[in-house]
Amino acid sequence: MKKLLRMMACLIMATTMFSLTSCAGDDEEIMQEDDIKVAAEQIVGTWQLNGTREFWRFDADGKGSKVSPSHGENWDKDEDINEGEGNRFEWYLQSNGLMVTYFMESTGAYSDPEPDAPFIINSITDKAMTWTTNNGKGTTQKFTRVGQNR
Amino acid sequence: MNKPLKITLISLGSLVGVLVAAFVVVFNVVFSQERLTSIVRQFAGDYVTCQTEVGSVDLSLFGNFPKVSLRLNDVSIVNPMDNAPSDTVLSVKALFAELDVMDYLREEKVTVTGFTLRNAQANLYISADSVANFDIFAIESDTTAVADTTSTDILDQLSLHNITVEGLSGTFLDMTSQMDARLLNAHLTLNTDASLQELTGGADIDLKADEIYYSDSLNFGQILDLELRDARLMYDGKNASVKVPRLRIADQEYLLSGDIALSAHVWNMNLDGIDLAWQDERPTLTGVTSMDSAQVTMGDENLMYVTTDAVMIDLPVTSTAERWTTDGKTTIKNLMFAMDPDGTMVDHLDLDTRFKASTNAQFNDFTVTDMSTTLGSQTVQGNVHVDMTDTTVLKADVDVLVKATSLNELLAMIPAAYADALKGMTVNAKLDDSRITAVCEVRGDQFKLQKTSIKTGVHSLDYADDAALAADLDNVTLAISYPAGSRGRQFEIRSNIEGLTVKQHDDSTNLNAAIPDLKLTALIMDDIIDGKDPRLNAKFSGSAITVDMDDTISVKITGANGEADIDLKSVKNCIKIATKASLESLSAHVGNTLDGSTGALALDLKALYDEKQAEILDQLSPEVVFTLADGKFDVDGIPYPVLLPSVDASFDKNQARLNRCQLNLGNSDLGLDGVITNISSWMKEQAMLEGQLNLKSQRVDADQLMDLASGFGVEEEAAEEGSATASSAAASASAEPTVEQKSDTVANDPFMVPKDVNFVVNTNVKAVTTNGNTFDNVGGQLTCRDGVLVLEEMGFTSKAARMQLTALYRSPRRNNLFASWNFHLLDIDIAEMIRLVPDIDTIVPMLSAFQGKAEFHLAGETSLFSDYSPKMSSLKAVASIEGKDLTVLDSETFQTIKKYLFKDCTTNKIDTMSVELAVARRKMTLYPMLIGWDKYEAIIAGTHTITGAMPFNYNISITKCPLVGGHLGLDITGNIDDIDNISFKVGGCKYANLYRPEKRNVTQEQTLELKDLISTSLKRTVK
Repeated sequence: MKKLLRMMACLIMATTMFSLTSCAGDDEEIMQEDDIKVAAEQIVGTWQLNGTREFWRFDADGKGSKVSPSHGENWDKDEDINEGEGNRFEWYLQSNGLMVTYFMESTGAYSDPEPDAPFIINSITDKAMTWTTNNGKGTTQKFTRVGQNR
Repeated sequence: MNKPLKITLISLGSLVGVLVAAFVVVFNVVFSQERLTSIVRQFAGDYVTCQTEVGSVDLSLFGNFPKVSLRLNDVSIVNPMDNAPSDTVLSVKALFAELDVMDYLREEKVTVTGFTLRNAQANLYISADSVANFDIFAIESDTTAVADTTSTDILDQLSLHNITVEGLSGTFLDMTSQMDARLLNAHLTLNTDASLQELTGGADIDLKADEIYYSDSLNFGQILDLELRDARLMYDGKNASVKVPRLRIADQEYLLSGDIALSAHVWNMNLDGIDLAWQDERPTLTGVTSMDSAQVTMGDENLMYVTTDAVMIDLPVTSTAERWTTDGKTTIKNLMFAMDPDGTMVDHLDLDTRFKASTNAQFNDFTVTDMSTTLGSQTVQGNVHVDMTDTTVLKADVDVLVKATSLNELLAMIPAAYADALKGMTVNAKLDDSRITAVCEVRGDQFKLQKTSIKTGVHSLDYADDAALAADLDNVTLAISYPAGSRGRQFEIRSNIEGLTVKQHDDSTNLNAAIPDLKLTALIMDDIIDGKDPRLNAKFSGSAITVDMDDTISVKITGANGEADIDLKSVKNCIKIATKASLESLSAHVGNTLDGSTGALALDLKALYDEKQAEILDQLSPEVVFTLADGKFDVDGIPYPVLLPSVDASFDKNQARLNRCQLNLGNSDLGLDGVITNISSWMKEQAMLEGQLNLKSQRVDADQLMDLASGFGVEEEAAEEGSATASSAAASASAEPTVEQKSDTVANDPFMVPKDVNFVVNTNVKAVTTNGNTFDNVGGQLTCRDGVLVLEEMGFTSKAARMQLTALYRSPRRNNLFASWNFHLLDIDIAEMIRLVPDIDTIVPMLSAFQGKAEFHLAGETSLFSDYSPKMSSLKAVASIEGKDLTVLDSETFQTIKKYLFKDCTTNKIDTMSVELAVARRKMTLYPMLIGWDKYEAIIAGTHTITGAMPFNYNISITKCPLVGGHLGLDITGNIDDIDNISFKVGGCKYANLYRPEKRNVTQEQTLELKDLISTSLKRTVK
């Protein structure tokens, strides 16, 4: 009896495990190819995160693709960091979103990934952009363009 | 008497009587007044070219027989000239000439033997055209012959034995030389047996005059009330004598000619007993000139002025064939001498001088011996010899002794006008005998000093003034000698000072200084005599120097020695200096700020001062060598004594060399050596300052040094209290202080890395202790270049691991500093690693759940505020931890995990662990970490925020589980700050396919790439 009960418990547990086992890790946001191209062009420029003095600048010195990434910089004026003094990064767009990797002098390489990346760009216009972070909560951030496209 | 004799005498007498009668008749007929007057007038008319009047002429035959007196009455010679003060050249009331009849009877020659002038007035005048109004004698056509003949004839006709002048007055005016002279009421009696032709003989003279006056463009003289009695002159063509028993000048005033116009005013001068003889070409002089009870004033009040009450001069002269000598003495009473109207230099002092002087007959070899001059209370004695026998050179030999005296006596001599300068001062001292000797010669305009010696001294000096300054000196001596030095071309100056103390005690100053003994020796090249630039060598030595001030500062130096060479000649327009100084010890105390002492200290300094250079180093061109031993300093603000056991350094304008510099501070010892170059070019901003230094140490206590260094450059918050108050309100509203608060609340002065320097410091430290840990063999290189400070490949070992560190610090902007680091711990125990680097526990909090050996790599960087706090938005880091055979620590958390996932019997051992994590923008990301654990395999990943409450979100995905045979996930969320309220939720297995390439999605692919990127980039930097 004891043995039977243990077997039933395992069976139930196994069933539960199977039911709980999911491909949640396999689920990911997908950007379409066309959207990627548009976003790669339109993202070029300087953006301010709404409600903050945090700025992001995306340059067009590459193609914005994984093979030919472009570069940029972000800085936070609330901490007395000006453009040119901020975090340099490498960016590219692929199907899972915008990837940003920061440059580190200590390693001499773009070796520090942005923790909230990849960003899923929800919308991007000449004036505004929104993206959703990959922080597990799906936080949406809104930006306002402040600089010319480069 | 018989009758024939009687008749004869009567007949002779009658004959004589007839002859006499006949002579008288003839004489009166021939030499009557009218006749004589007419003859003289005619004679005068023939020989005098201007108007001549003779009142009458009388001839007296018998009054002075055989001499005949010829008397001319009322003689006047008139010769009018333009601008002459008078037309009358001469007017004489009576003129007597004594004629020798016998000369006439014997030689038919008229000889004048005596001459008397009564009541005469002469007015002599020479016009600007050099025409004289007394040029009145007729001249024949053959002027020279006539003149010579005339002068010879006149002298032949003169054999004067007596001259009497009564009441002679006259004026002489020469317009060509602006000369003006006059004589008033002169009376002269001269009896002589002199021959005018041979100019030999003697004369007795009495002279009296009311006034003798003379002036020209430069000179002026006036003698009033002159009286000369019983003077006797004698000259025999070879020998002469002058006796002046009495010469009195009641009052005279005359100007002395020269570059400076002076006036002298003398009353009541008497020459008493002057007896001058010139015999066998040698003089003899006896007698005294005195101006007793008289006052002499000489000079001009605006230039030089001398007054006395009485002067006595006694200058007897004796002579031999070779030398003339005198044993003279002069006494001046109440002498006052002033050089300018502002004050006197000698004020009412008595002067007494005695000396023996001699000269050779050629007056080119003079000596003064046994000279003793006393002025007031001061006495100077000496001897002088001047030799000009060689006409090409003047030689002089001087030996003078200034007798010892007291300073009080000297000061008493200071004139009242200058005495005010000493007001408020009290000085006592005794001056030793001072001796000055010198031998020199002058050739042309070249002066050459052959030797000289000066010795003097002062002892028992006390000084005090109303500024509360007091000084005492036991003894000071000064000696100067020449020639000296190795080549005999230097002046040597030696001075010894003993027992010098200086004190000043008043409301604001409290000073005591003492020098028990000090020796100074200087050598100066004799070029200085010729006015050339001097070259000087000086040495000093003293046993001790102490200075105490205001009870807060005290300095004591012992065993001071030094030498200095100063040369203004060798290099044109430059001063060359070479000095050496050494001390046996130095101690200094400055209030509560500094208390220090040293052992032996030595300084060797060379410099070439050129004021034309612009930069200070180029102006000085210094070369310095400095050594110090046994330095110990207690400095306010430094809790440990600063020990400098030895310092050996040198520098010049281009480089500084530390040969050896040992500094011990607290538990740390630091030995520094190396060289710094390009100093001069760097100061001119033409090049970078380069330095290559080596730091060696047995031990460094990093915690102590950091404590010392922290706070350097940070001002007190109290100074910024106003802005802090305003900012604090804003601070309360936000989790993090604003950038304004960080920059304003505390006025910071961070270390700014200089941009124009290139320094390399090689470190070799045997042991570094920090945070309770000891790191052995810490060696590496610290580089400061172009504004970046880099600690390169600093390797060290500890009992826990091998470590390697590279760090960088940059200061582009005061409130935007930058630091980065690259840190590797190889073969490290995890617990030890967390103990060494506590911040790891903050970044990877779950690491503390494991124990065992690991390999840790960390690279990070951040911008910093001026107070060195990180700007969190710029903080970036990547880390990699690899561990084998780790054990999970048995904790409550693990027990909870076990409860959900594992059997009780599951062990804590983990086969392998590979952790990659990254920090950016305030978040730490733990990339999926695969843990192999018995039959289990799990992947742990998550993020947590590193600021604020530090929320975290982790997921444990069981990818291999014998129990369930499938995948399981557990989500763990919460806040680090609230660890008791962690949430555990069974959730999905997020990373089931992470290590299944065929099932990985893009993000998972990317995740693995990023893990590899992090690991590879870190390991690439391991040396």
